[in-house]
Amino acid sequence: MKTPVLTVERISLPEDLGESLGPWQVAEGELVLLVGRSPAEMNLLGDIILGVTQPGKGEVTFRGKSWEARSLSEDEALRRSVGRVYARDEGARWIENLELDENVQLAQSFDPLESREHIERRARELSGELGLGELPKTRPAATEELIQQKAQWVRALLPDPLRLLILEEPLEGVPKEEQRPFLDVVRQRRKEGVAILWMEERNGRTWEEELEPDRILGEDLIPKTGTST
Amino acid sequence: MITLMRSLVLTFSQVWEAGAYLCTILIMGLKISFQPKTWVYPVRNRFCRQILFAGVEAIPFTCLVAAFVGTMVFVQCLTWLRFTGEIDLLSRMVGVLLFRVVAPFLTTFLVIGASASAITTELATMKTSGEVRLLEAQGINVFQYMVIPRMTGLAICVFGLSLLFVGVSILASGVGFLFFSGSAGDPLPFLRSIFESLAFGDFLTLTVMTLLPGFIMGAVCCYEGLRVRGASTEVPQAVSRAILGSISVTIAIGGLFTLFGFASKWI
Repeated sequence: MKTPVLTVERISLPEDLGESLGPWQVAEGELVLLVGRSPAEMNLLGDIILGVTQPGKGEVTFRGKSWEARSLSEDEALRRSVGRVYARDEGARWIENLELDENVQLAQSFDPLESREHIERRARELSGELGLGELPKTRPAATEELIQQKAQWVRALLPDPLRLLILEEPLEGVPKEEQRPFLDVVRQRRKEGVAILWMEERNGRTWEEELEPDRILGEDLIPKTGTST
Repeated sequence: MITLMRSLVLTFSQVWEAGAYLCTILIMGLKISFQPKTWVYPVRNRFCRQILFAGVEAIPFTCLVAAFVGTMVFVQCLTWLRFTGEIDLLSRMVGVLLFRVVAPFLTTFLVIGASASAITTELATMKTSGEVRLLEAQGINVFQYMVIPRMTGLAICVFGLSLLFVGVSILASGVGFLFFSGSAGDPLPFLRSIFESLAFGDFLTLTVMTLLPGFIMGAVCCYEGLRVRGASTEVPQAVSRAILGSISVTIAIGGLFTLFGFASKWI
Protein backbone atom coordinates (compact mmCIF):
# COMPACT_ATOMS: atom_id res chain seq x y z
CA MET A 1 0.00 0.00 0.00
CA LYS A 2 1.25 3.44 -0.93
CA THR A 3 2.07 5.90 1.88
CA PRO A 4 -0.28 8.91 1.93
CA VAL A 5 1.53 12.22 1.52
CA LEU A 6 -1.45 14.54 1.73
CA THR A 7 -4.75 13.89 3.48
CA VAL A 8 -7.63 16.35 3.31
CA GLU A 9 -10.23 15.79 6.02
CA ARG A 10 -13.50 17.51 5.22
CA ILE A 11 -12.13 21.01 4.99
CA SER A 12 -14.08 24.05 3.91
CA LEU A 13 -12.65 27.25 2.51
CA PRO A 14 -12.42 30.02 5.16
CA GLU A 15 -15.54 31.91 4.06
CA ASP A 16 -17.38 28.85 2.86
CA LEU A 17 -20.66 27.91 4.49
CA GLY A 18 -21.40 25.02 2.16
CA GLU A 19 -20.45 21.37 2.29
CA SER A 20 -16.94 20.15 2.97
CA LEU A 21 -14.11 19.16 0.69
CA GLY A 22 -12.83 15.66 1.31
CA PRO A 23 -11.99 13.32 2.76
CA TRP A 24 -9.44 12.33 0.14
CA GLN A 25 -5.74 11.74 0.00
CA VAL A 26 -2.83 11.76 -2.38
CA ALA A 27 -0.29 9.00 -1.85
CA GLU A 28 3.29 8.66 -3.08
CA GLY A 29 3.37 8.30 -6.85
CA GLU A 30 -0.30 9.17 -7.25
CA LEU A 31 -1.76 11.85 -9.48
CA VAL A 32 -5.09 13.26 -8.34
CA LEU A 33 -6.99 15.64 -10.59
CA LEU A 34 -9.25 18.18 -8.94
CA VAL A 35 -11.63 19.96 -11.28
CA GLY A 36 -14.24 22.65 -11.09
CA ARG A 37 -12.50 25.32 -9.02
CA SER A 38 -11.80 28.89 -10.09
CA PRO A 39 -8.16 30.12 -10.08
CA ALA A 40 -8.86 32.06 -6.85
CA GLU A 41 -10.15 28.93 -5.16
CA MET A 42 -7.22 26.85 -6.42
CA ASN A 43 -4.88 29.43 -4.96
CA LEU A 44 -6.67 29.41 -1.63
CA LEU A 45 -6.83 25.63 -1.55
CA GLY A 46 -3.09 25.46 -2.27
CA ASP A 47 -2.42 27.77 0.66
CA ILE A 48 -4.67 25.65 2.93
CA ILE A 49 -2.87 22.47 1.86
CA LEU A 50 0.46 24.13 2.72
CA GLY A 51 -0.84 25.29 6.10
CA VAL A 52 -0.40 28.98 5.27
CA THR A 53 -4.13 29.69 5.47
CA GLN A 54 -6.44 28.06 7.97
CA PRO A 55 -9.50 26.30 6.57
CA GLY A 56 -12.95 27.28 7.83
CA LYS A 57 -13.18 23.80 9.34
CA GLY A 58 -11.52 20.41 8.93
CA GLU A 59 -7.86 19.48 8.79
CA VAL A 60 -5.04 18.95 6.34
CA THR A 61 -2.45 16.30 7.14
CA PHE A 62 0.91 16.34 5.38
CA ARG A 63 3.13 13.28 5.80
CA GLY A 64 1.06 12.01 8.71
CA LYS A 65 0.83 15.18 10.78
CA SER A 66 -1.12 18.41 10.69
CA TRP A 67 0.93 21.58 10.14
CA GLU A 68 0.12 22.83 13.65
CA ALA A 69 1.58 19.68 15.20
CA ARG A 70 5.09 20.51 13.99
CA SER A 71 7.54 23.25 14.86
CA LEU A 72 7.85 26.29 12.58
CA SER A 73 11.24 25.19 11.26
CA GLU A 74 9.89 21.69 10.48
CA ASP A 75 6.92 23.24 8.67
CA GLU A 76 9.25 25.46 6.64
CA ALA A 77 11.51 22.57 5.69
CA LEU A 78 8.50 20.50 4.57
CA ARG A 79 7.01 23.39 2.57
CA ARG A 80 10.32 23.66 0.73
CA SER A 81 9.82 20.05 -0.38
CA VAL A 82 6.54 20.96 -2.09
CA GLY A 83 6.64 22.27 -5.64
CA ARG A 84 3.85 24.50 -6.79
CA VAL A 85 2.75 26.14 -10.01
CA TYR A 86 0.44 29.04 -9.17
CA ALA A 87 -2.68 29.76 -11.19
CA ARG A 88 -2.23 32.62 -13.63
CA ASP A 89 -3.99 35.93 -13.07
CA GLU A 90 -4.54 35.17 -9.40
CA GLY A 91 -2.50 36.49 -6.48
CA ALA A 92 1.26 36.86 -6.33
CA ARG A 93 3.36 34.30 -8.17
CA TRP A 94 6.72 36.05 -7.89
CA ILE A 95 8.63 38.42 -5.65
CA GLU A 96 8.54 41.41 -7.95
CA ASN A 97 11.81 43.02 -6.85
CA LEU A 98 13.82 39.87 -7.55
CA GLU A 99 14.86 38.66 -10.96
CA LEU A 100 13.22 35.52 -12.30
CA ASP A 101 16.27 33.29 -11.78
CA GLU A 102 16.60 34.49 -8.16
CA ASN A 103 12.89 33.83 -7.65
CA VAL A 104 13.21 30.29 -8.98
CA GLN A 105 16.09 29.39 -6.63
CA LEU A 106 14.95 31.45 -3.63
CA ALA A 107 13.19 28.83 -1.49
CA GLN A 108 15.81 26.12 -2.03
CA SER A 109 18.57 28.56 -1.01
CA PHE A 110 17.10 28.52 2.51
CA ASP A 111 17.96 24.86 2.92
CA PRO A 112 21.12 24.90 5.06
CA LEU A 113 22.28 21.59 3.56
CA GLU A 114 22.03 22.74 -0.07
CA SER A 115 25.02 24.44 -1.69
CA ARG A 116 24.35 27.36 -4.00
CA GLU A 117 26.28 25.74 -6.84
CA HIS A 118 24.16 22.58 -6.57
CA ILE A 119 20.90 24.56 -6.70
CA GLU A 120 22.12 26.61 -9.66
CA ARG A 121 23.22 23.51 -11.53
CA ARG A 122 19.91 21.73 -10.94
CA ALA A 123 17.95 24.84 -11.98
CA ARG A 124 20.03 25.11 -15.16
CA GLU A 125 19.51 21.44 -16.01
CA LEU A 126 15.76 21.61 -15.37
CA SER A 127 15.48 24.82 -17.33
CA GLY A 128 17.09 23.15 -20.33
CA GLU A 129 15.01 20.00 -19.90
CA LEU A 130 11.76 21.99 -19.84
CA GLY A 131 12.60 23.92 -22.98
CA LEU A 132 13.28 27.25 -21.29
CA GLY A 133 16.98 27.45 -22.09
CA GLU A 134 18.77 29.89 -19.77
CA LEU A 135 16.81 31.07 -16.75
CA PRO A 136 15.85 34.69 -17.48
CA LYS A 137 17.65 37.40 -15.51
CA THR A 138 14.77 39.83 -15.82
CA ARG A 139 12.16 41.03 -13.35
CA PRO A 140 8.82 39.16 -13.58
CA ALA A 141 6.96 42.25 -14.76
CA ALA A 142 9.36 42.58 -17.70
CA THR A 143 9.11 38.91 -18.72
CA GLU A 144 6.52 37.51 -21.10
CA GLU A 145 3.83 35.21 -19.69
CA LEU A 146 4.98 32.04 -21.47
CA ILE A 147 8.50 32.39 -20.05
CA GLN A 148 7.06 33.06 -16.59
CA GLN A 149 4.93 29.93 -16.79
CA LYS A 150 7.93 27.81 -17.77
CA ALA A 151 9.99 29.38 -15.01
CA GLN A 152 7.19 28.36 -12.63
CA TRP A 153 7.66 24.77 -13.83
CA VAL A 154 11.37 24.96 -13.01
CA ARG A 155 10.67 26.38 -9.55
CA ALA A 156 8.04 23.71 -8.84
CA LEU A 157 10.27 20.83 -9.90
CA LEU A 158 13.44 22.13 -8.26
CA PRO A 159 13.03 20.85 -4.65
CA ASP A 160 15.24 17.90 -3.77
CA PRO A 161 13.64 15.78 -2.37
CA LEU A 162 10.33 16.68 -3.97
CA ARG A 163 7.43 15.18 -2.01
CA LEU A 164 4.33 16.87 -3.40
CA LEU A 165 3.51 18.83 -6.54
CA ILE A 166 0.57 21.23 -6.44
CA LEU A 167 -0.21 22.22 -10.01
CA GLU A 168 -2.80 24.93 -10.56
CA GLU A 169 -3.54 24.91 -14.30
CA PRO A 170 0.17 24.46 -15.10
CA LEU A 171 -0.34 24.29 -18.86
CA GLU A 172 -2.47 27.42 -19.10
CA GLY A 173 -1.21 29.67 -21.89
CA VAL A 174 1.44 27.18 -23.05
CA PRO A 175 1.10 26.04 -26.70
CA LYS A 176 0.43 22.30 -27.02
CA GLU A 177 3.71 21.62 -28.81
CA GLU A 178 5.65 23.13 -25.87
CA GLN A 179 3.83 21.15 -23.15
CA ARG A 180 5.60 17.86 -23.88
CA PRO A 181 8.81 18.43 -21.81
CA PHE A 182 6.76 19.34 -18.73
CA LEU A 183 4.48 16.32 -19.05
CA ASP A 184 7.54 14.07 -19.45
CA VAL A 185 9.21 15.43 -16.31
CA VAL A 186 5.95 15.16 -14.31
CA ARG A 187 5.54 11.55 -15.42
CA GLN A 188 9.14 10.86 -14.39
CA ARG A 189 8.65 12.46 -10.95
CA ARG A 190 5.48 10.45 -10.45
CA LYS A 191 7.39 7.26 -11.15
CA GLU A 192 9.95 8.37 -8.55
CA GLY A 193 7.14 8.54 -5.95
CA VAL A 194 6.16 12.20 -5.96
CA ALA A 195 2.52 12.82 -5.03
CA ILE A 196 0.80 15.14 -7.50
CA LEU A 197 -2.34 17.23 -7.05
CA TRP A 198 -3.34 18.73 -10.41
CA MET A 199 -6.10 21.34 -10.43
CA GLU A 200 -8.07 22.44 -13.45
CA GLU A 201 -11.04 24.70 -13.85
CA ARG A 202 -12.52 22.50 -16.58
CA ASN A 203 -12.27 18.80 -17.23
CA GLY A 204 -11.37 17.07 -20.46
CA ARG A 205 -7.88 18.25 -21.32
CA THR A 206 -5.78 16.13 -23.66
CA TRP A 207 -2.98 15.58 -21.14
CA GLU A 208 -5.31 13.50 -18.95
CA GLU A 209 -5.28 10.58 -21.36
CA GLU A 210 -1.53 10.64 -21.34
CA LEU A 211 -0.87 10.93 -17.60
CA GLU A 212 -3.88 8.85 -16.47
CA PRO A 213 -4.83 10.34 -13.10
CA ASP A 214 -5.43 7.85 -10.28
CA ARG A 215 -8.55 9.74 -9.25
CA ILE A 216 -10.59 12.62 -10.58
CA LEU A 217 -12.30 14.66 -7.89
CA GLY A 218 -15.24 16.33 -9.56
CA GLU A 219 -17.38 19.33 -8.89
CA ASP A 220 -19.73 17.30 -6.69
CA LEU A 221 -17.03 16.86 -4.03
CA ILE A 222 -16.44 20.52 -3.38
CA PRO A 223 -18.84 23.38 -2.93
CA LYS A 224 -18.94 26.34 -5.28
CA THR A 225 -18.22 29.63 -3.51
CA GLY A 226 -17.44 33.17 -4.45
CA THR A 227 -14.38 33.09 -2.23
CA SER A 228 -11.34 34.91 -3.47
CA THR A 229 -7.90 35.39 -2.05
CA MET B 1 -15.78 61.20 30.56
CA ILE B 2 -16.30 57.48 30.16
CA THR B 3 -15.60 57.79 26.43
CA LEU B 4 -12.39 59.67 27.17
CA MET B 5 -11.34 57.01 29.68
CA ARG B 6 -12.16 54.27 27.19
CA SER B 7 -10.10 55.88 24.43
CA LEU B 8 -7.22 56.41 26.87
CA VAL B 9 -7.30 52.77 27.91
CA LEU B 10 -7.54 51.71 24.26
CA THR B 11 -4.57 53.91 23.27
CA PHE B 12 -2.55 52.63 26.22
CA SER B 13 -3.32 49.00 25.33
CA GLN B 14 -2.38 49.63 21.67
CA VAL B 15 0.92 51.24 22.68
CA TRP B 16 1.54 48.39 25.13
CA GLU B 17 0.81 45.81 22.44
CA ALA B 18 3.06 47.55 19.90
CA GLY B 19 5.82 47.82 22.52
CA ALA B 20 5.53 44.14 23.37
CA TYR B 21 5.71 43.20 19.66
CA LEU B 22 8.72 45.45 19.15
CA CYS B 23 10.54 44.02 22.15
CA THR B 24 9.88 40.51 20.83
CA ILE B 25 11.18 41.50 17.39
CA LEU B 26 14.29 43.03 18.94
CA ILE B 27 15.09 40.05 21.14
CA MET B 28 14.45 37.60 18.30
CA GLY B 29 16.42 39.82 15.94
CA LEU B 30 19.44 39.90 18.24
CA LYS B 31 19.24 36.16 18.84
CA ILE B 32 18.82 35.15 15.20
CA SER B 33 21.36 37.67 13.83
CA PHE B 34 24.15 35.94 15.69
CA GLN B 35 23.31 32.46 14.39
CA PRO B 36 25.52 31.61 11.40
CA LYS B 37 22.81 29.40 9.83
CA THR B 38 20.62 32.52 9.46
CA TRP B 39 22.96 34.00 6.87
CA VAL B 40 22.08 31.87 3.86
CA TYR B 41 22.78 33.36 0.43
CA PRO B 42 19.47 35.26 -0.12
CA VAL B 43 19.72 36.82 3.37
CA ARG B 44 23.33 37.89 2.73
CA ASN B 45 22.27 39.26 -0.64
CA ARG B 46 19.40 41.23 0.90
CA PHE B 47 21.75 42.52 3.62
CA CYS B 48 24.25 43.76 0.99
CA ARG B 49 21.48 45.47 -0.96
CA GLN B 50 20.32 47.17 2.25
CA ILE B 51 23.83 48.46 2.93
CA LEU B 52 24.03 49.67 -0.68
CA PHE B 53 20.69 51.50 -0.67
CA ALA B 54 20.72 52.90 2.86
CA GLY B 55 24.45 53.38 3.32
CA VAL B 56 26.57 53.60 0.17
CA GLU B 57 24.07 55.70 -1.77
CA ALA B 58 23.76 58.11 1.17
CA ILE B 59 27.52 58.80 1.32
CA PRO B 60 27.66 61.91 -0.92
CA PHE B 61 24.75 63.61 0.83
CA THR B 62 26.12 62.70 4.27
CA CYS B 63 29.51 64.20 3.37
CA LEU B 64 27.87 67.40 2.17
CA VAL B 65 25.78 67.76 5.33
CA ALA B 66 28.80 66.89 7.51
CA ALA B 67 30.94 69.56 5.83
CA PHE B 68 28.36 72.28 6.45
CA VAL B 69 27.51 71.15 9.96
CA GLY B 70 31.19 70.75 10.95
CA THR B 71 31.90 74.34 9.92
CA MET B 72 28.78 75.61 11.67
CA VAL B 73 29.59 73.80 14.92
CA PHE B 74 33.15 75.14 14.85
CA VAL B 75 32.02 78.75 14.27
CA GLN B 76 29.41 78.57 17.05
CA CYS B 77 31.87 77.05 19.54
CA LEU B 78 34.53 79.62 18.61
CA THR B 79 32.11 82.52 19.03
CA TRP B 80 30.75 81.46 22.41
CA LEU B 81 34.01 80.25 23.92
CA ARG B 82 35.66 83.53 22.95
CA PHE B 83 32.74 85.32 24.60
CA THR B 84 33.12 83.32 27.83
CA GLY B 85 36.96 83.42 27.70
CA GLU B 86 37.30 79.62 27.60
CA ILE B 87 38.91 79.34 24.15
CA ASP B 88 41.24 76.57 25.42
CA LEU B 89 38.23 74.25 25.44
CA LEU B 90 37.59 74.73 21.71
CA SER B 91 38.91 71.38 20.45
CA ARG B 92 37.26 69.42 23.30
CA MET B 93 33.96 71.22 22.76
CA VAL B 94 33.95 70.61 19.00
CA GLY B 95 34.90 66.94 19.43
CA VAL B 96 32.30 66.21 22.11
CA LEU B 97 29.50 67.97 20.25
CA LEU B 98 30.23 66.17 17.00
CA PHE B 99 30.81 62.73 18.54
CA ARG B 100 28.07 62.65 21.14
CA VAL B 101 25.23 64.67 19.68
CA VAL B 102 25.47 65.91 16.12
CA ALA B 103 26.82 62.87 14.28
CA PRO B 104 24.61 60.19 15.87
CA PHE B 105 21.40 62.19 15.69
CA LEU B 106 21.87 63.72 12.26
CA THR B 107 22.98 60.52 10.54
CA THR B 108 20.12 58.60 12.14
CA PHE B 109 17.66 61.22 10.91
CA LEU B 110 19.25 61.17 7.45
CA VAL B 111 18.81 57.38 7.28
CA ILE B 112 15.25 57.65 8.59
CA GLY B 113 14.47 60.20 5.86
CA ALA B 114 16.09 58.16 3.12
CA SER B 115 15.28 54.57 4.10
CA ALA B 116 12.49 54.28 6.69
CA SER B 117 9.75 55.20 4.25
CA ALA B 118 11.30 53.05 1.50
CA ILE B 119 11.49 49.94 3.71
CA THR B 120 8.01 50.37 5.14
CA THR B 121 6.45 50.99 1.73
CA GLU B 122 8.25 48.00 0.22
CA LEU B 123 7.17 45.59 2.95
CA ALA B 124 3.62 46.94 3.17
CA THR B 125 3.23 46.63 -0.61
CA MET B 126 4.60 43.09 -0.53
CA LYS B 127 2.10 42.27 2.21
CA THR B 128 -0.92 43.69 0.40
CA SER B 129 0.05 42.13 -2.94
CA GLY B 130 0.35 38.66 -1.40
CA GLU B 131 4.13 38.32 -1.79
CA VAL B 132 4.62 37.75 1.94
CA ARG B 133 2.18 34.84 1.83
CA LEU B 134 3.98 33.55 -1.25
CA LEU B 135 7.22 33.48 0.75
CA GLU B 136 5.54 31.63 3.61
CA ALA B 137 4.01 29.10 1.21
CA GLN B 138 7.48 28.39 -0.19
CA GLY B 139 8.83 27.62 3.30
CA ILE B 140 10.80 30.84 3.64
CA ASN B 141 11.03 32.35 7.10
CA VAL B 142 9.79 35.91 6.59
CA PHE B 143 11.55 37.18 9.71
CA GLN B 144 14.86 35.71 8.60
CA TYR B 145 14.57 36.88 4.98
CA MET B 146 12.90 40.26 5.32
CA VAL B 147 13.47 41.58 8.84
CA ILE B 148 16.96 40.46 9.89
CA PRO B 149 18.88 41.92 6.90
CA ARG B 150 17.08 45.22 7.23
CA MET B 151 17.62 45.55 10.99
CA THR B 152 21.29 44.65 10.86
CA GLY B 153 21.84 46.54 7.60
CA LEU B 154 20.37 49.76 8.97
CA ALA B 155 22.37 49.45 12.22
CA ILE B 156 25.61 49.11 10.27
CA CYS B 157 24.66 51.91 7.85
CA VAL B 158 23.89 54.38 10.64
CA PHE B 159 27.11 53.47 12.45
CA GLY B 160 29.24 53.67 9.30
CA LEU B 161 27.69 56.92 8.12
CA SER B 162 28.20 58.41 11.61
CA LEU B 163 31.92 57.59 11.47
CA LEU B 164 32.09 59.20 8.04
CA PHE B 165 30.10 62.17 9.30
CA VAL B 166 32.50 62.64 12.23
CA GLY B 167 35.55 62.42 9.96
CA VAL B 168 34.23 64.90 7.38
CA SER B 169 32.83 67.33 9.96
CA ILE B 170 36.11 67.37 11.92
CA LEU B 171 37.98 68.08 8.69
CA ALA B 172 35.45 70.84 7.95
CA SER B 173 36.02 72.30 11.41
CA GLY B 174 39.76 72.33 10.55
CA VAL B 175 38.92 74.33 7.42
CA GLY B 176 36.79 76.58 9.63
CA PHE B 177 39.78 77.01 11.94
CA LEU B 178 41.87 78.09 8.94
CA PHE B 179 39.39 80.73 7.83
CA PHE B 180 37.58 81.90 10.97
CA SER B 181 39.98 81.59 13.91
CA GLY B 182 41.90 84.67 12.88
CA SER B 183 45.23 83.12 13.90
CA ALA B 184 46.01 82.07 10.29
CA GLY B 185 47.83 79.14 11.81
CA ASP B 186 48.24 75.50 10.88
CA PRO B 187 44.94 73.60 11.49
CA LEU B 188 46.75 70.28 12.04
CA PRO B 189 47.52 70.85 15.75
CA PHE B 190 43.88 71.84 16.23
CA LEU B 191 42.68 68.67 14.52
CA ARG B 192 45.15 66.58 16.50
CA SER B 193 43.96 68.17 19.75
CA ILE B 194 40.36 67.22 18.88
CA PHE B 195 41.28 63.53 18.64
CA GLU B 196 43.52 63.72 21.73
CA SER B 197 40.71 65.26 23.75
CA LEU B 198 38.30 62.41 22.98
CA ALA B 199 37.72 59.81 25.66
CA PHE B 200 36.45 56.21 25.63
CA GLY B 201 32.99 57.50 26.61
CA ASP B 202 32.75 59.52 23.40
CA PHE B 203 33.38 56.46 21.22
CA LEU B 204 31.00 54.40 23.34
CA THR B 205 28.30 57.05 22.99
CA LEU B 206 28.74 57.20 19.22
CA THR B 207 28.61 53.41 18.94
CA VAL B 208 25.56 52.89 21.16
CA MET B 209 23.65 55.88 19.80
CA THR B 210 24.02 54.70 16.22
CA LEU B 211 23.92 50.90 16.33
CA LEU B 212 20.92 50.70 18.68
CA PRO B 213 18.65 53.26 16.94
CA GLY B 214 19.57 51.79 13.54
CA PHE B 215 18.64 48.29 14.70
CA ILE B 216 15.40 49.46 16.32
CA MET B 217 14.56 51.65 13.32
CA GLY B 218 14.74 48.54 11.14
CA ALA B 219 12.45 46.71 13.57
CA VAL B 220 9.93 49.58 13.65
CA CYS B 221 9.81 49.88 9.85
CA CYS B 222 9.42 46.11 9.36
CA TYR B 223 6.81 45.90 12.11
CA GLU B 224 4.74 48.73 10.61
CA GLY B 225 5.17 47.44 7.05
CA LEU B 226 4.19 43.87 7.84
CA ARG B 227 1.32 44.96 10.09
CA VAL B 228 -0.63 46.25 7.10
CA ARG B 229 -3.58 44.03 6.28
CA GLY B 230 -5.56 44.12 3.09
CA ALA B 231 -6.00 47.52 1.53
CA SER B 232 -3.14 49.41 -0.12
CA THR B 233 -4.59 52.63 1.34
CA GLU B 234 -3.08 51.52 4.65
CA VAL B 235 0.44 51.86 3.23
CA PRO B 236 0.85 55.66 3.66
CA GLN B 237 -0.45 55.40 7.24
CA ALA B 238 2.09 52.69 7.98
CA VAL B 239 4.87 54.87 6.53
CA SER B 240 3.89 57.83 8.77
CA ARG B 241 3.80 55.59 11.83
CA ALA B 242 7.19 54.09 10.95
CA ILE B 243 8.86 57.49 10.52
CA LEU B 244 7.37 58.95 13.70
CA GLY B 245 8.19 55.76 15.61
CA SER B 246 11.79 55.76 14.37
CA ILE B 247 12.31 59.41 15.31
CA SER B 248 10.77 58.86 18.76
CA VAL B 249 12.94 55.83 19.41
CA THR B 250 16.10 57.69 18.33
CA ILE B 251 15.39 60.63 20.63
CA ALA B 252 14.38 58.35 23.51
CA ILE B 253 17.59 56.31 23.24
CA GLY B 254 19.70 59.47 23.03
CA GLY B 255 17.96 60.96 26.07
CA LEU B 256 18.16 57.79 28.15
CA PHE B 257 21.79 57.18 27.28
CA THR B 258 22.74 60.77 28.12
CA LEU B 259 20.91 60.52 31.47
CA PHE B 260 22.61 57.20 32.17
CA GLY B 261 26.01 58.68 31.31
CA PHE B 262 25.37 61.74 33.44
CA ALA B 263 24.21 59.64 36.40
CA SER B 264 27.22 57.33 36.16
CA LYS B 265 29.52 60.36 35.82
CA TRP B 266 31.33 59.40 32.65
CA ILE B 267 29.82 62.21 30.62
